[in-house]
Amino acid sequence: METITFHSYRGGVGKTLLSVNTAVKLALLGKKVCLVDFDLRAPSHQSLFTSSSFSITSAAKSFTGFLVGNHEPQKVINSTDRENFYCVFSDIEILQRKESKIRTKLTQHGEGRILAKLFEFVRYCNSQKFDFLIFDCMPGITYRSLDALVVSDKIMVVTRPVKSEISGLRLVISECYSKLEGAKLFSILNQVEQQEDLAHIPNSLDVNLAKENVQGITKCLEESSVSIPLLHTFRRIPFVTERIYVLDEKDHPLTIEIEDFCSKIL
Amino acid sequence: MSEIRGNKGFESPSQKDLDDYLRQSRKSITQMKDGRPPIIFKPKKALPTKFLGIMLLVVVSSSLMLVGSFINFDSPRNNNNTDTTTTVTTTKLTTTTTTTTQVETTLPIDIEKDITTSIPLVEAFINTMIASNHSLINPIVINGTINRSQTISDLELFDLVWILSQFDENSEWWNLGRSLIFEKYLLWNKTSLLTENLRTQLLALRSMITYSNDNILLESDALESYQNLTKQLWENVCSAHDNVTGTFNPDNGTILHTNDQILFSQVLAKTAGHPTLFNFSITTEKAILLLNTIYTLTESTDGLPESFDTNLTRVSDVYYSHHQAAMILALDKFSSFLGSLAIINTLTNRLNNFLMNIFLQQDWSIAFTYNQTSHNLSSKIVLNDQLLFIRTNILQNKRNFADYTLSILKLNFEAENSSYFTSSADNQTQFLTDHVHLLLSFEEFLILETTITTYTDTEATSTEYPTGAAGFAWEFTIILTVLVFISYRRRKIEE
Ligand SMILES: Nc1ncnc2c1ncn2[C@@H]1O[C@H](COP(=O)(O)OP(=O)(O)OP(=O)(O)O)[C@@H](O)[C@H]1O
Ligand SMILES: [Mg+2]
Repeated sequence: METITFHSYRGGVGKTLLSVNTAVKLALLGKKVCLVDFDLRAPSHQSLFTSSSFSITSAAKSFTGFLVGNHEPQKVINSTDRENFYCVFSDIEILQRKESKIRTKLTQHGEGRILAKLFEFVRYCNSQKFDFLIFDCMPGITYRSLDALVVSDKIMVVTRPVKSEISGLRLVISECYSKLEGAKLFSILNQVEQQEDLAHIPNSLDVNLAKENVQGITKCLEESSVSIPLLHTFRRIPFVTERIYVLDEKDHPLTIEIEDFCSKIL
Repeated sequence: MSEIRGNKGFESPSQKDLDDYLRQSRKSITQMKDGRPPIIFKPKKALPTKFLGIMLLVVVSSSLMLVGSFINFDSPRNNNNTDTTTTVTTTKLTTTTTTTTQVETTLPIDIEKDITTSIPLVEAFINTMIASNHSLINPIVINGTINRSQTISDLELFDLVWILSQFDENSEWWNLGRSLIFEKYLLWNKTSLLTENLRTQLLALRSMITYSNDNILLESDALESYQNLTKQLWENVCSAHDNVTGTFNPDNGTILHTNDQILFSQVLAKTAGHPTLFNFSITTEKAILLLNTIYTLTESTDGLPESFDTNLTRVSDVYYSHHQAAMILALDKFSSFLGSLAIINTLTNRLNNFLMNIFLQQDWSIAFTYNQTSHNLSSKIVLNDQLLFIRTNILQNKRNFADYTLSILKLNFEAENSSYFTSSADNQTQFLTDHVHLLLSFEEFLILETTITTYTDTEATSTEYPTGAAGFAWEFTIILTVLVFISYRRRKIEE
């Protein structure tokens, strides 16, 4: 089994969109996949999946509850109408209990206990013969995102070409990624303006800026002290929303890109 | 998107903490991959500053208190002065209290209800057992339907007295234990104990020692015979120690049985705390020898020592989960009497890790589903295990585990109906004591609850404090001293 975490320093770069579509696509390709909504502070998968043409065939418990010791691993995995695809949702119910000690444990250091639970989950999935375990991680360097990074085999570092990303990426590499031993790092550049789109941008200053930012990110990755090869560049696709395109929109540009991306993973 | 949605309390570590966290995480994972328990590691806190701050506050408030005691409160000239001081300090107190209030977790309502409904049941049971009409040696009838014919054995009585002694001093239950040993059963008259086996002697010694500082005893004619018997027992038990091998070697050339190690630890922890009957240094020496033995025994040879072993034939060198839990409780007593010895901390950590591993095991629930047919364990021992778990968890403030264990316990009660109280063909000795143990767990659980409520109460009323600067400063000092003590102990435990 391969454990893959989609991570980024900043929010809103496209982790959720890419990880969900990748996970579903891998399942459609016949792999047994478990997708975990590991954005504990702003979970989104449950609503995403319930509004899709997917049907969830179980009512599993939340992963958040599992992490704090409330449930067994087998209780949190949802089965779906796709034989190979399983998903795990988080909720913020525990986080809303303001002063709870559990909340503190979950949001802060955690004394290695949350990590142990996460590892227990990975081990459980392994025992269930999953081919892929995919974490859609919360952004930034928090104790919890560190947990996910530490238990992963591969880390997909998602970035987008905006100016502030460059400094953010540099920081997260030196502070965090370079310290991870064992996991293979890959980068994904998302929301890149295509050449033909650039032609439509009225202001040449913006065109230059867009190009510069892509170069900036690429340079930052090249100069990185650890190897973070650029695995894929996703173009910016207008009107993309939070949906599972790979499911029933075979010709959608995102579906096509995701297919390409998956072939690189396999 | 996270850029605008805030952090919701998810903490980002500083660079140093991050490095530390990654290092420890890697270590923990390597260990788990080898099938060993995870590492439980605490954040390295910047305690010294906080610690110094609190110390400073203590000093300030103490001097305040001193000044306060010199101020003549009736003199109008000084009134303004005092008022200002009070206001300033009140603000400080409120802040201090607020920062210590973060220990709250919500208790599942049904468990709370279960506790309150179970207590009368347990009480009724015990009361019937020990009623003055000698029901202890007669068939028991509760509510006209439940009956269990069994004579209470010495062993059960010893256990009962000891558990009762663990309730708050001078509480109803504590007094019950005292009256059992000093008025009803006169244990010290039983010289026959000297010819009993080691286990019985340990049990007797343990229950006698727990009340050895009691006024009733010290003022009674029985003191001498009590002391004689206790001393004799003590010598018998101590001679079980083998000077050559450095281990405890009581009989048949085997190492002291795990249960006896725990019993002996409990005895030692008690004697170390009450040096009136015995020589303190001897006790300490024995304690360290015993701890060393246990240390060696619990050392993992091939990865994880057996914690839940289905093969129950090995007895002397296996620490089952309930042994681990019991030992953790005993070690806690040790450390409060003997001070923080490195070996106590190491051993506690080790046992904690074993136990933690059981909790984290995928199938740790088997711990609670052993049954008579598949294993030679009675459901009562399982109950006892659960109680020990609850108490250990309460001790360590692991509320969610305590809650969980308690809820399993509750399920068991429901599943087996009242069979915990009715089983008639029962010849186990743990029966009665389990119930008292249960009560003790409930008590401890409720105390934990009350402590939390008290904190909140203090906070709520803190604005009404200014009743006099000196009196106030006293309270302030006491609160701060407690705080210092708590953080000091925490730190000690962390090391
Ligand atoms: N290649 C793309 N082209 C166009 N829009 C995109 C692309 N990738 C992502 N988006 C859009 O960007 C927004 C943010 O994406 P998404 O929610 O997947 O990011 P995220 O990294 O998961 O964010 P968060 O950190 O908040 O969880 C969404 O509205 C998504 O539809
Ligand atoms: Mg997301």
